[in-house]
Amino acid sequence: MTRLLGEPPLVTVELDDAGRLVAFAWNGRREPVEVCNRWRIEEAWWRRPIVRDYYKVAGARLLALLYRDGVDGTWHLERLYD
Amino acid sequence: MSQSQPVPAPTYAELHCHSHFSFLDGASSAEDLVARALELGLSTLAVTDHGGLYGAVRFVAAAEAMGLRPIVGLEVELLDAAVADPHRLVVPRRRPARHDAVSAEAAPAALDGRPARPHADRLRLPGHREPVREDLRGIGDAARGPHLVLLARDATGYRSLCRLVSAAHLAGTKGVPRYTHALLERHADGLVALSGCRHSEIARRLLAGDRAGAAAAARHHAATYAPVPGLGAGVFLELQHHLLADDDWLVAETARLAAELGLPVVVTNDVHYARRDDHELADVLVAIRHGRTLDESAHLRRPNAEYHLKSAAELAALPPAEPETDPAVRRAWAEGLRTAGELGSRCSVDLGFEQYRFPGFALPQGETPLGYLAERCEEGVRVRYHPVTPRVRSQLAHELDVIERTGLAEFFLVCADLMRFAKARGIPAQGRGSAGDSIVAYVLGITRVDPIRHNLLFERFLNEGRTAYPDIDIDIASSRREEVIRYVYERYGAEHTGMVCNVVTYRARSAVREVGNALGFPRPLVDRVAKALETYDAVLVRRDLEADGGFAEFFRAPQGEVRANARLDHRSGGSQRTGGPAARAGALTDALAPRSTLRRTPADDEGGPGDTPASVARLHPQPRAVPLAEPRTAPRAGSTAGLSPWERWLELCARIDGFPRHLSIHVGGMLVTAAPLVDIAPLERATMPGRVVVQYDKRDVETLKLIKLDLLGLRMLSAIDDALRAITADCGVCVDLDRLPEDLPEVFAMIVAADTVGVFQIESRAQMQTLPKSRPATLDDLVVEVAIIRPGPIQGNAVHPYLRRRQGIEPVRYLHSSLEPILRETLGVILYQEQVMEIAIAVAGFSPAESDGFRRAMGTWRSDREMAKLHDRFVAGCLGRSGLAGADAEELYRQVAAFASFGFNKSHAAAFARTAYESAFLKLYYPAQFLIGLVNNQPMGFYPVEVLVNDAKRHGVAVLPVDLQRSAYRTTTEWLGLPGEPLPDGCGIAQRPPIVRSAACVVPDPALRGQWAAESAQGYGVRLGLHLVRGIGEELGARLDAERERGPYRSLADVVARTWLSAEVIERLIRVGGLDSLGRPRRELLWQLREVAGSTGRARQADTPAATATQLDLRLPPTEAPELPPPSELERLADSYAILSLDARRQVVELFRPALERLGAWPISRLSEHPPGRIRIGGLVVTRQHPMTARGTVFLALEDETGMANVTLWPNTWARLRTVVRRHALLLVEGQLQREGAVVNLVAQRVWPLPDEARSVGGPDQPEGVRQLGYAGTRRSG
Repeated sequence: MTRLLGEPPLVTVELDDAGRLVAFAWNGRREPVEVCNRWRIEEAWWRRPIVRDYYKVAGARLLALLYRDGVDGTWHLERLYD
Repeated sequence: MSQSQPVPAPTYAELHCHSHFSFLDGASSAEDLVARALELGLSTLAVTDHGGLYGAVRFVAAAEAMGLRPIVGLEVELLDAAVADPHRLVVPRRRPARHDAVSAEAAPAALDGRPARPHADRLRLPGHREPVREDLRGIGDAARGPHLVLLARDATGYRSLCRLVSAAHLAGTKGVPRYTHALLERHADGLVALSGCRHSEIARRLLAGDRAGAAAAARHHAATYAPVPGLGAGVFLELQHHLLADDDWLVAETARLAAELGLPVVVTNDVHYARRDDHELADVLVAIRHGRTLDESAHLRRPNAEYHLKSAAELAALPPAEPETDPAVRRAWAEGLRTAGELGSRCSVDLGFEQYRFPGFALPQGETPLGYLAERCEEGVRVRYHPVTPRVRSQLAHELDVIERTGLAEFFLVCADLMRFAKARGIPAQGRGSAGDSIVAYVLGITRVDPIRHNLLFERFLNEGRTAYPDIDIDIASSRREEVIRYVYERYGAEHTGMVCNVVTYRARSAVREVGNALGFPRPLVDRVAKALETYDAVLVRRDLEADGGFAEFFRAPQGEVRANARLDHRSGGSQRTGGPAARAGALTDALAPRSTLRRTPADDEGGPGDTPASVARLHPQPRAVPLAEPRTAPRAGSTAGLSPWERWLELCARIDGFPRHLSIHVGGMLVTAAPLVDIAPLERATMPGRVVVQYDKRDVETLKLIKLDLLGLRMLSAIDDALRAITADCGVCVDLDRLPEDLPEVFAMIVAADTVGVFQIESRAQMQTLPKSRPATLDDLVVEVAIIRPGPIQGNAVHPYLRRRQGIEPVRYLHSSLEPILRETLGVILYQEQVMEIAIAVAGFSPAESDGFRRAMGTWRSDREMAKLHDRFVAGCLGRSGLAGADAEELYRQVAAFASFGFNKSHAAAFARTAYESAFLKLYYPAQFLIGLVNNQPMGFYPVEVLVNDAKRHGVAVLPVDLQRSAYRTTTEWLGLPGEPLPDGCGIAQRPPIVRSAACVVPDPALRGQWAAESAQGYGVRLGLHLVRGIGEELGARLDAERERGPYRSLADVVARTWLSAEVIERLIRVGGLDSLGRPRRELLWQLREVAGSTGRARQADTPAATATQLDLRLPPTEAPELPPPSELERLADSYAILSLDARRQVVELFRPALERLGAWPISRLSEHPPGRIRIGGLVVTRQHPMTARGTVFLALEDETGMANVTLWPNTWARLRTVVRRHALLLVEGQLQREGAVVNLVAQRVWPLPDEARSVGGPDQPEGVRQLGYAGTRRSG
């Protein structure tokens, strides 16, 4: 099962020196993670553009799908895999 | 074409790239791609369009011009897999094509005497084409065959590509080639294969987990393509990374596979557009290709914008090159980048085919082409010139000299041979265009214009500096053009002959429609916008709509609303979408246009671009409606994300402008080559069965320096030919138009009176308005007349000055003294292309070759950008060389530019003027025969048939109604006896139409008539043919003609049984009086029709041939019809107009004449007697024009039973009266009568529907079938 989060909440992320994602914080908890996969979508430019780099990440306690919004640079949590 | 220098250290080369010739997929032109590749520092670029080499020539030309190394390639979609594919991993199963269900065989059988479908036999109506194109809409790449990329290594490779493409296209249907591996193996010489994108066989197998299959497929390709020296193989596995979820994996797998097999890899990017922002247009193209909106086509699009041209550095920064990637993959990626450059440097193209360009004309033993040509010219010169003057001799010698040096002798021989064929077969044909400048063409019989007599400039046709080779354009009677084309095919062999294609590109309307639909705008809005456009240029859409005024709301659309509405989508995130197309469309409407606006604005469906250039607006200068802001003519750069939907629509239209959409056959271009054509150019099927076109268009062929013949169909030649045949048959005289004196004053008197309905080139409203002012009195004057009433001279401000100078109202002036010798013959205005060249040479200091290039560059649609460059050069030249003032130089450039983009060359105008003169002669002396020529060759000319018929009637030609007993399929002449003799019984009319007395109705002087026309010509009337009745086509017509030969029809049942006409068609015939000759009232015939048709249906069902059907006892009507009142004259006319759009007996306005008199309206024939001032006229609208040169002014041609008048509606009047004018066919117009010399023109002030006004004074109602006839505004002949 996965949980799709309604309005994807903002998360803060930690990047290492090379710019790789190493951890994110959500609801005040820091989750160290490793990136399993990533992809980019660019969509809906004729409405409100969606440009997102998705990261599927695995941590000790969770599997999650994060994205970085390419328009404003914010990070969001989109999905949690139970 | 020379090949570019090899690059010493090969930098990265992009080897997989689609230009916009990957129709509706690639989103950048070859020029853009080349420019971007250079910016990115690429050494080489390959263009690999889908399925064909459509863009190859342009791409190579652009690359060589800008200094990039080009490679010609191709991406094919295969029908089969390289190795066994039992699980359909490679070639997916697809649903069966939709059109299989509808075929002739599938028509259900008749049951129980009744057809199972109401009209089963109508499934295959003539003209109803079976769908030939596979419907691939909605089918994404994943559901289609596997891809493979092929690149040409050298000339052999290019030849293989051409042969491969040709074979695949000829084996398939139009637009759907059949590429198979068997075919690839046959045409592999000189080619290199790249494994392709994720839809290649190898990638598909890898993604499906079939490693062994992928390896087998790779080995198969490796066995097919010979290794490239130094690179070890002929097939390269492509590594592509577009930041998709499984790209890391696929790159790694492919790299491993390559390593296992020992095959090299290349990094490519499957480029579909030059820059990242262009992905928006690419998405729109995908939506258009699938006939969906952007919202509906998510699964068919590429998921992100990574498919743009990338530099080596960008590619080297992608994930496969990152430190944490497997080192083997990292190495492969780096290796792939290197190999791409390496491979790029080993491929080259050479499209120099000049040595093959001649068809190898078969010469007698021991002759050289030039010697043979000189002999033929010598023969011809003695026929054409009496005596042969020294000027003729020297001109001939000069031309032969140039022909020798340019090596074009064979070309002339080919044309002469073709004309000989046409002449022997009696096919009317004549050279047009610049070939008329050549005396060689004249003496060989190719053209009919004497260049010495007209003082023409040979250099316009051919000069040594010319970079492209000249065209010889030949007009052929359109009904017989096929015969000539077939002759060329037979004479030179199908191998060496092909038709040039025409690339259909996006223009304003198509862009607005398709982009609008893709963006999800409501269809009615899209329709409204498209119809409001007058420009052809999609980049000018914005300007047009701003000017229109009806769209102001949209330009003010608040962006906030749109944004608010877009927020809804955000919640769903990712690739999910909310709202179906309907919701979307509704949302847009809300955001864009308050409902009230949509309701308030009347449907605006008339903005047609006009063809007819001269306008009364010009002739009577008036303040212009609204001064327009300088339009933005270039699309802005960057993303359209921040724009409002409306702005985005306009912007994307501007970007798609000029994009190729599909191919069609060029109107007449034929390519004849010495080498087999398939080695030079790829062929493909045309829509016409059996016809083959090359994938290169006119411009490409020119670039390749191949020789093209243009064989164009000209309906007027067919009409003249038909008329001449009728004259010979009717009157027993043979009119030889070649020997017709060119100075008959009666013919010119008719032309000056503007009595030119039906006359070639000088019949339009604009021509009629100028003829009485320019008063042509010689053929030379007519040449000017033909050349002047065109958009070019009008935009160049030439018409007015010429007319005033011609009438002596203003003195002849020149912008600068250096122009005088050039423009003297046209009274100081620029009229001919030859003059443009001479100005460029003499005033701006161009060389002859440059001047020709200057003229050509401005004469084509590509103009905008190139013209800016030429402008600077021209103006600088004028200032420097001739010392013109800056403003004068600008003005001169403006005149030259406006003219050059539309102009005629003088020789062309001379050829057309000759034809105009000949058609005028026929109209004057043989009006009946001329009329049948015109009617039988419709559609042609400016007016609908009704106008031609009424015009002939006003000149005293008796026009007889359609009669099944007497009418042939085609309109024919019929002997009625000389004037004064009684009309034959049953001819269908009671009396000959009287000749209308009016200045605009010229009939020959009885004393002179005998000199030029046979006495008997006057005794012929015109019998309208059955072709005018809707539903009777050519095939049926031939059967009816044969049946009529067998004897008269005796009854309605006889008609039904013998003709097999459907009940609808017979009903139409009855209603137009076509069965009146059976002697029964129309209503009774209609009453009987259903029963009779039903009983004959049985005969038909028993498959009884028509001949025996008459033996069935069907002649007695089964039931008596009750007493039915005969139709009133109003009803009769209504039927006639509804079905034929005309009536042989009566022009509809005649019915209203008593009412019109009560309303104080004048008959049109008497307008010239009326003093200038307020007047009323009533009439039927026969043409309505919105010429683009007239800036919103609308012109109506109003016809009554006595003549035709021009009515002008100024823009503000039009705005006020458009509803009335658009809705009603019969109008009562009140306005100011203006007279300028003999030109009469009514400027409308008030307009009413005539029937309403007539009713108020006791007049008749409007007959229901009467509609507005013409809509000249939609004609695009300019």
